[in-house]
Amino acid sequence: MGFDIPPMPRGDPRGMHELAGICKTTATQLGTLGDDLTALPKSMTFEGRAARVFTHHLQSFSSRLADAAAELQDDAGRLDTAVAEVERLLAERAAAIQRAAESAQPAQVGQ
Amino acid sequence: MRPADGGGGRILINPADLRRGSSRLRTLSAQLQTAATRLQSAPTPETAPPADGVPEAVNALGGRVTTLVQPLADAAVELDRRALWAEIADQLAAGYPLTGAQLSEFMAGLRDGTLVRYAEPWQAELAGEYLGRTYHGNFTDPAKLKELVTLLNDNGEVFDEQHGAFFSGFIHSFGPENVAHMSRVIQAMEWPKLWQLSGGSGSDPYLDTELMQKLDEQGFQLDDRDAMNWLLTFGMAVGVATSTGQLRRYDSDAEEKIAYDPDTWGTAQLLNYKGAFGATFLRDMFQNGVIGEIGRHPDPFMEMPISRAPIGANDGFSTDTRALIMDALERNPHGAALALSTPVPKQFLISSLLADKSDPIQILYEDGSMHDDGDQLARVYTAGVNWFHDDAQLASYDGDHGRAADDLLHGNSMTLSLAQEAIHGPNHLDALDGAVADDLAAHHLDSLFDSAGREQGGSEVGYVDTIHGNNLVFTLGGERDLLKTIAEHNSDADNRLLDAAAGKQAQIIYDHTNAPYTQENGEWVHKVSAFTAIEMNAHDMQLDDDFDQDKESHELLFKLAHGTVGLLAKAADVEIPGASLAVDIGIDRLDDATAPSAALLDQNKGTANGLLLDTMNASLASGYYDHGLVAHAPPELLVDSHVQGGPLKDYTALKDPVIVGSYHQWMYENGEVLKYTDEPLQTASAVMERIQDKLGAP
Repeated sequence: MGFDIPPMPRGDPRGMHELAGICKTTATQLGTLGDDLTALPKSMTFEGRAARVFTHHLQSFSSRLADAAAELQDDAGRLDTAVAEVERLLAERAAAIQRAAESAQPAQVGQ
Repeated sequence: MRPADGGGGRILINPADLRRGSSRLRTLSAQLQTAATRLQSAPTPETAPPADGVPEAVNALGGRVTTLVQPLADAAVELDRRALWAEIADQLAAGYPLTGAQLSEFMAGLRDGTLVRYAEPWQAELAGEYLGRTYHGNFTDPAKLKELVTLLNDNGEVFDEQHGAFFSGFIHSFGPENVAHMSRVIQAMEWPKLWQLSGGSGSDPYLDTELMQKLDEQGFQLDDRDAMNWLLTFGMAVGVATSTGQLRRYDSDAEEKIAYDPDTWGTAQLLNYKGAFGATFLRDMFQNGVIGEIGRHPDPFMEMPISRAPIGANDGFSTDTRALIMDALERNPHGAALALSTPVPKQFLISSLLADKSDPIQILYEDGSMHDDGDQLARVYTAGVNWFHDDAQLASYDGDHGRAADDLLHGNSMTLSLAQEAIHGPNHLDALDGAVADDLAAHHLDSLFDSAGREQGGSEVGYVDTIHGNNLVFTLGGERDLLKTIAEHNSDADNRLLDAAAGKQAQIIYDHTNAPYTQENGEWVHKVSAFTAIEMNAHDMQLDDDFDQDKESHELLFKLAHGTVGLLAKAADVEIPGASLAVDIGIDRLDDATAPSAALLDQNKGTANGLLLDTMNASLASGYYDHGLVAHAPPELLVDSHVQGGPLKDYTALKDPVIVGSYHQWMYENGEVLKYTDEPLQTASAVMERIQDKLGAP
């Protein structure tokens, strides 16, 4: 009787996990930076045409940082999903190997 | 906190707030750099779905985030500079000295260009004033002039309001006369030994010999390349200040002070800078440096002493004052328009040569002694007259009808001036025939046809009708003379004009053959037949003349007939006409049909109707056929004999005598055709005969 051991799944769960952590940390930081940029003009007495242009620029930067943060959160989510899937496959494989080992042991005793 | 008036309303700025904001931005910029670096250097583990590609995307995102770091740092600098301006503007305006720290930051901002970039225009003007004051007493010192050139370049080549204000402030306090003299200062630095040769008769009176001698004694000589770059810097300063309109705003006399400086060579040297200069400044340069010089030096072949010490030496800048100014006008069509349309002030009408003349086109045409047969004047004229018509259109779109009318008055007056010279000038410049022909084709086709229809007498070429929208009106003789001048001197230009006229003529016929002809709405027949008769006379052809294939003028005239009939013949294929038939269909080029076929000529021989009257009839018949009023044509006259209602064959291109005969039978004997064409053709014939009588034998 043969044993069906699943193949080794592709993917480095530890590395992906580490990268997901970087993504989450940086996304949070970029979000905070963006909020700070939006808030900055309000903290100054600076009015007039140049001030309006300046505020618009900062809002544009802030918006781009928010987009980057959202992209990183999405990346982190995909990494977490991949990690979970790889870990599940690894667990299944380990279980299969375990089962194979267990079913092989009595036969050896009998010899 | 201080209020300030930047021209755009009340501005409130608290410098301390801005300084704190700047500091915060620098911190945020540094944090962003850290975050970006972290992303760019993040690990790239082996992935599994759905995370495939994520590590690479994260690295790339790090790169994109990095691009935001410098703009944030720049924003911090902006706040610092605006804070500085809020602190020092009143001091500068009042002439109080800056503190050491303020001056240090001020100069740093000047050197990196941020002081002007982040200034309100009035503040930038103060910075320029400061710079001008600092150097106006020491610019003959080469080391100081080098410093100044460096600072000007650090803020140069930006053509916006605040940079214009900066250079205007500089020119004002540095002294417009010093700016005008700057090429002589640089010339002295490059040619210090020349003082030894100066002073004789024929010597250039505007050489700065005193400075030359001083520099020669110091053993100083400026490198040729540096001399050119330094001069370009001052040209750029004048260019930015004038082209942005700021110099007139901050110093209303400065443009004239530079442009009207008696040393025309010296000021024209500034135009070696090939960027933009202001239109009014160039007009003034033109009046002094081109028109004035014609009076000062009526003999263009006499050697001018100014050519002996060119800036940049033998491979350096042009020393041709007139060419420099005319080149600059070519680059600024508005300047060209002002230069050629503004009467020349009396102070520049020097010598008896220019007495009683103030029209710049007349002066250049008659006394300009063109070395290039008028090619450059033709280009400047075209740039200028096109500018007036383009601006009139823009003004109309903007609802500024006063400006539009003013533009048309000046543009059309330019056309009349050039037409007058082309016809009656004491000398003849063929290049200008091309310019006026292109002007007519681009802007005056309506005037040519409308004027022809008026059959107006008079000894003038024409006039601007100031009662009816400043339109151009030609007299009958004036229009003929102008078209004849073009036909006789410049067949290429005549070709282009006839192409355009054929398109216009076809359009007029097409637009009016959608309904039966009546006397009340028959003005259009007058226009096209009168214009054709004028063109015939201009090309030495009478109604009953046989077409002479050996005469180039007859070939050219045939182009008008061929272009018109060709367009109308094909118009049956145009389901929804666009802006014009000529655009929708495209005029058959003269190269494709230079003359009528032997069969067509044979058909005309011995008949009372000339070739052009037959083609006029073919145009009318084609027009009514295009609109379906004439519903039938014999199959042999159709491009595709199986498609009733399809396009007609082009009458002027027929070669088969049988088909020519059939076409004539259709035109002159078919009741359905005659119903529509008989009356307008009779009118056309009468008008053409009358015009021929009025104009006399060619």
